[in-house]
Amino acid sequence: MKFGGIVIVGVGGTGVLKASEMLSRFLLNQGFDVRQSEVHGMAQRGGSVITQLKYGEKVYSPLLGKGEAQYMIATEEVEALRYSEFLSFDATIIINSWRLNPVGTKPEPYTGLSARLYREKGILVYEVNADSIAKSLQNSRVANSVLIGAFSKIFNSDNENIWEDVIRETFPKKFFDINMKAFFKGRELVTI
Amino acid sequence: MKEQKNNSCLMLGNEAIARGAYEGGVQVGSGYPGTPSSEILEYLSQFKEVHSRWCPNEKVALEVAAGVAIAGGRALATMKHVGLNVAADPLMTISYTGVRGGLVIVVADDPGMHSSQNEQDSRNYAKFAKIPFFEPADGEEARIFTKEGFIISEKFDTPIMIRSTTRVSHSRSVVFPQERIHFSPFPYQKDAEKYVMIPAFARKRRVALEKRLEVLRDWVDESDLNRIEMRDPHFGIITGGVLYNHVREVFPQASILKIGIGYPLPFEMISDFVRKVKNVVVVEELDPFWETEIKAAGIPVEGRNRIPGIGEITPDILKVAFGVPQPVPSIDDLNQYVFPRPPVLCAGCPHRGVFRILSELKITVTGDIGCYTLGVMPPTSSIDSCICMGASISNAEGFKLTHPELTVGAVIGDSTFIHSGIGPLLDAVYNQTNIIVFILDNRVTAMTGGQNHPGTGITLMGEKTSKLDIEELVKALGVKEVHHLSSFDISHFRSLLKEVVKKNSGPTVFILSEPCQLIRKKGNKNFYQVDPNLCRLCKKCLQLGCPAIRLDGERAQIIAEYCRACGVCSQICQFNAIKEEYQS
Ligand code: SF4
Ligand code: SF4
Repeated sequence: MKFGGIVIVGVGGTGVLKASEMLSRFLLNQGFDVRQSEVHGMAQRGGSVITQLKYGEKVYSPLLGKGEAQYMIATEEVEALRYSEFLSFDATIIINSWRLNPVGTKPEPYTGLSARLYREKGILVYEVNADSIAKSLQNSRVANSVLIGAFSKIFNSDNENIWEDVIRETFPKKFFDINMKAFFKGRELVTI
Repeated sequence: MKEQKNNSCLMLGNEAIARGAYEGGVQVGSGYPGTPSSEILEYLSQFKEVHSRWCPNEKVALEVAAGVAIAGGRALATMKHVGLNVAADPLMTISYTGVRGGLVIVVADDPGMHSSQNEQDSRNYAKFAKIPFFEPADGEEARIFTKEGFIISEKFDTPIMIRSTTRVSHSRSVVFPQERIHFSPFPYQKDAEKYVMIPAFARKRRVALEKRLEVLRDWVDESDLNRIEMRDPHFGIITGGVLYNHVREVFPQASILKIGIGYPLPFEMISDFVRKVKNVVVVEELDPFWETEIKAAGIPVEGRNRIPGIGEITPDILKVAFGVPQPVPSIDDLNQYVFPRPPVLCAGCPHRGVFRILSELKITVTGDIGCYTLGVMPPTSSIDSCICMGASISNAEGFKLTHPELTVGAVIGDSTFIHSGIGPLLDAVYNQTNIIVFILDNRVTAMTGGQNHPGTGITLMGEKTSKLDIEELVKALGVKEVHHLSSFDISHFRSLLKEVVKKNSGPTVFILSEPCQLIRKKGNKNFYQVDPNLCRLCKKCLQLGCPAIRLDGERAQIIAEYCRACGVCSQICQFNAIKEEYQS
């Protein structure tokens, strides 16, 4: 493997940046060189957002090319489809089972469309009900930690202490506990 | 510079620049927020040994920094590319005077215009001002180059520019932080012939400036900030900045001359490289800046004939440019199921209702730089021009001078007004231009993430300070008619504005105040709901474009979870169908 690639996609304001920060810290901790690219400013006002993450023995460019991501984490199902060109055919996707329709149109519950389309292509898809879990924890902002929890299981990372450090470094102190809870809920959810 | 590498950590490029400045013993950091540069000073302000400040605009920021450097301290000024246009005036002359303490100016370009109104190539400014610029490729280089910048600045008596781009500033990579070096300011020394640029003295400095460039030209050929990596003798690339990383990845075998000092160029090193390696291509983003310089020195290279000059250069674009097959198959036929998701004003944004009224009363609106530029988008579609910081007011004057029959208004945010809207408003008063100015006062610099400014009463270091009273300022400029009201009180706004339009005797100023959602404390859990028995399906509220208002069949519906209870929609509804739900 030249390098591993992960894209984290979603809607501005759903914790995409924090999720990729967590992943980057984790991968660095695993002894990888890491580069991660994100977009700030205009794109964050509820628009479509993507961050790209690369890890390996030595990584140069912070940008992924077409077909170079083995993992995608999507905080919303339509956004999962928007960035399909980055995925390799053996990719694994974690989708938050949540849908956000365009402003002004009728809200719809999660349709599972992206999961179905990806599965038709032979891609391994995990649908994670991160949004409801976050709401059950009384904080809709921790859905990203639920997704990262799911990822930790899929990525076969058994060292829970490392994740504890990662969460401590990423969030302000007062949000540590709730993000830890969210992380473990996500972790329990996935069976592989 | 040789450093011991131990504790590695992950840093955003902008954080690494701040770290480098801190380590380099900087005393003062100044700037104005602008994507992708904003986080530099935010990170720097976490070091209590450094005085960091937001200034009203980039010109002020650079002048403060220049003052520090002339007086003998070390200073950092930060801005985005278009901010350097504002600061260009002091830049051109601080190049003449030189510095005593180190002066580093960080400029962050935005190829691809992720969050900017143009994609100018700021490298041209370094040549224009005859000062050196360094171009880091990643976080670790950003740290080292910034730190080194202070030393080189002092050594050659010149300001140093660090040119970053979005992909350097907003990428995280591994950085090896070091301790802060101890530096105390040089003792103050008056030197009028060097620092007072009257023509007689400036003429002497003009000559000194050319001499300095000569000395720098010799130095760059020896500096280890530029380097040659010899690999394939038949394929060479001259590149710098983030593109170095793309090149390393796409062409692992290529020989590379990596430019760290982008001006003046190390021509001896380049000739040497071109002699040793056949087929040398200059890989650079935006203008063919290096290619032109290199060709002018009589060295044959390729460049723009292969690499596009518009937008961002990605590894994939490089592959296409050089005919490298893309080996990994990808899935690219799924985005047909996707709808566009452009950025929108937040639910409860104080700008929304204002735009609704402006479009309802058919005002011709000139716009400015900020979240409120989104007012150009449907459904309000209410902005007709947007050029640069502060231009809304002066553009409106021009509109009115050309078409007196139009009712012309300018929208400008509080931070933008302070940045460069005061002069234009004074112009409208002085020349009695009949326009209406809407100051959208949301008490923060919102677009860039919510920074403080002179109107918020809090400094970058988090200290309480004097708070600008915009209303008093506007009156002091001589505006006779000033209306100050809540941005959410749009019924009142509508009737006032109708009167103002009828009176037709501007300049008139409206100050519409209400905090941005980033900082607004709601204090309750109330939200608004549509009463299905009263709703007559007119869909007028949908024309607000609030993310919380949705269409359910034919009926409007408010998603309680997203509603920020600003109450604007309830004033738009003519049938009183939208009401506040009180929650305990
Ligand atoms: S960040 Fe503030 S100013 Fe910008 S859209 Fe949201 S509420 Fe409006
Ligand atoms: S009160 Fe109306 S306009 Fe304001 S946030 Fe709620 S739904 Fe949107």
